Amino acid sequence: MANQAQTLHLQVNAFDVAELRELLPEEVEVVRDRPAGAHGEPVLIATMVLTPLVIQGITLWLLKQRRRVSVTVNAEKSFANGDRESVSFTVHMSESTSSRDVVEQVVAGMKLDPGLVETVSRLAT
Amino acid sequence: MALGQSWTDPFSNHTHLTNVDVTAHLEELVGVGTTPRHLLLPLLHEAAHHWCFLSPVGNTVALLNMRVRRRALQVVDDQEAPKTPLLLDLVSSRVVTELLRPLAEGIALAMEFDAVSRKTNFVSYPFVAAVRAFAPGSAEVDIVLFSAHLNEALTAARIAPQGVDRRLNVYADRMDEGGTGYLLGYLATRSMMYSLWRVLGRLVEEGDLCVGYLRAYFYQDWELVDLLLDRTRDEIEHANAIRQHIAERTWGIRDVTASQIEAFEDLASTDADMRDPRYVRALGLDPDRARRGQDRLETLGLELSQALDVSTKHEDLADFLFVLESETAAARRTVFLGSADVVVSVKGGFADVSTRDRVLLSDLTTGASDAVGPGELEIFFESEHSDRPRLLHVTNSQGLVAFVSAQHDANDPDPDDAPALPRSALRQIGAVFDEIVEHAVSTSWVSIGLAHFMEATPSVCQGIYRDVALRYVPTDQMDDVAAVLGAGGIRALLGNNRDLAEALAIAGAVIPTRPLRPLLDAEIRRWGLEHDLVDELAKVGERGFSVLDAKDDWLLGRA
Repeated sequence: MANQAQTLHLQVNAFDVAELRELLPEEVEVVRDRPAGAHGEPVLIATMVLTPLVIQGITLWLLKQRRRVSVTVNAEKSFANGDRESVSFTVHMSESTSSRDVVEQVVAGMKLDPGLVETVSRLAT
Repeated sequence: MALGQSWTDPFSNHTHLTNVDVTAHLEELVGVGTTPRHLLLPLLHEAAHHWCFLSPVGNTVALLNMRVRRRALQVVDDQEAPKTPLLLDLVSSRVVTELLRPLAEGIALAMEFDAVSRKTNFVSYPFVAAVRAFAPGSAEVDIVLFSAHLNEALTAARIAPQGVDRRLNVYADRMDEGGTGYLLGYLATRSMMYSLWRVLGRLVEEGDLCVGYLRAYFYQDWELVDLLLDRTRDEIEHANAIRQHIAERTWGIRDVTASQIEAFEDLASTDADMRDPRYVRALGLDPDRARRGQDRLETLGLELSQALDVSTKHEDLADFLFVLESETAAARRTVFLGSADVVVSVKGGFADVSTRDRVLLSDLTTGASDAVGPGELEIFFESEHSDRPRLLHVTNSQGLVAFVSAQHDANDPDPDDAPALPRSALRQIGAVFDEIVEHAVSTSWVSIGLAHFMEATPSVCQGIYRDVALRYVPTDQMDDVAAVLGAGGIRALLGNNRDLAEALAIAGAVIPTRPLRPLLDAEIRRWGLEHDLVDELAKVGERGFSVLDAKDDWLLGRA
């Protein structure tokens, strides 16, 4: 378990943050990442501890974006030893896409333990 | 793709771009028109900051910051050293930086969100840099001609999901003191752009020129330079004078004439000296105060060219500081694209640069001694010659290994211009002196005086920029609009309707190059949104603040 990702960092916009916080009120923290005094670009990074509940929240949030047909997720996983791994993947959706379909895409896209699909799907039901 | 926020430091003018993987994309980063597209908006934003800080006002702030470090070292060296000069320099550099912060963000946002270039001969430094990096085939051809390629690349980047996200983040910012200053600065800048459109209509489709004039109006302001270096007032009068001057300039934008903008366009298109009296007239400055500002800046430069006088106990630090100042002054004129930790192998006057699994550069001519070990590879370009090939700077533990052009058939830069230190070392040494400044401040009464000013800056910024941002709001709707934008930004003005906000972001992306309703409708439908959202956006103006003007099929973006 030592090399399992502990924290997830998602590149989001301010509307995403509000929607994620509705689904995960305790879990989502927004960070700004620049030295004091510096001028920076308008980007937001949402940080959350990587748990099945968070994966479920992200799945439900992605399902809300259904009309976009596809959503590209840019994220980073951070590990206990300080390592970080970038992941970028596109979730494809249609009117018939189920919650489990999205969970599978998220778990695969984030390169997480495939066993999480069952755990998260059970949460969803 | 690594996550993070790109940034620019106003004093060192160092730009940091996230998502730059030098080892994986070296060829693309230095090539013509081959830079990865996801870097276009971040590069334009940071290059715009860099451009603002590389200006008479930006240079003055940087030199004042250098003198602050000197004075702090003198205070640490001798507790009896006078502290008022330190406080006045701190007030000058920090107060003006904070009071101009919303404007700096507004200018950078307007560059990345709205600027395009059509027929003008003026092309800003950030645009020139972006043309070379993102417009294919532009190396040997007229840069103005290739602005058209950049306009298309910009529209594509702005309309991509990440481009829309960046705009949505600004729309969701509060405009009051609880906000980050992005929305306050952006709306103030857009309002001033609108003022300029009213006197010279073609600026509507010459965003680069319009933003360029605003940048010059505030950052080539020799009167402000004069004021920052004036030491005839106490710290309170001094801070108030800075505030009043910036406020008057923001209001004075309404008095700018078409002939002044056109004079600026001619001068800036030919790279005229920024001290040219014709610039002074074009920017609406008082000639005598401007001349005095130029003289005062020159005097400050001369003062800092002299070594610092401290006791023998702190001589080494003073020597370090002198080197740091000279290196920082040179680095301020280059835009840093990225760096990588590498292995540098030097043998017989040639160097190879590699990572664990690939050779990045080989057979670089070097005067370094034979060695194999860790080093650093940096890429940057000269701000004032951003159409020229990118520069590669290689160092190892012994110092400089190579300083070469990234383009094989181009002349290498003058070795005497090579930075002695990599940027990472420069920043580390700079941080040491910043700690000395904080120590000198925190252990004297200076901290009380400075804290007073810094605590006041958010409300002072409100006083300066809020009224400018709301200049075109009807008086009877002013309070309502201010309350809505203050507490919830454009998002609240749009009823917290995400679809409407996305439609506005798409409109903002499309209109600078295609200001026609049918084209915008098509783009909005492509996003899966309803095209009648455009009608809703046009109606927002009935609430007192227009985000989109529509007349028949013609559209004008306002936010």
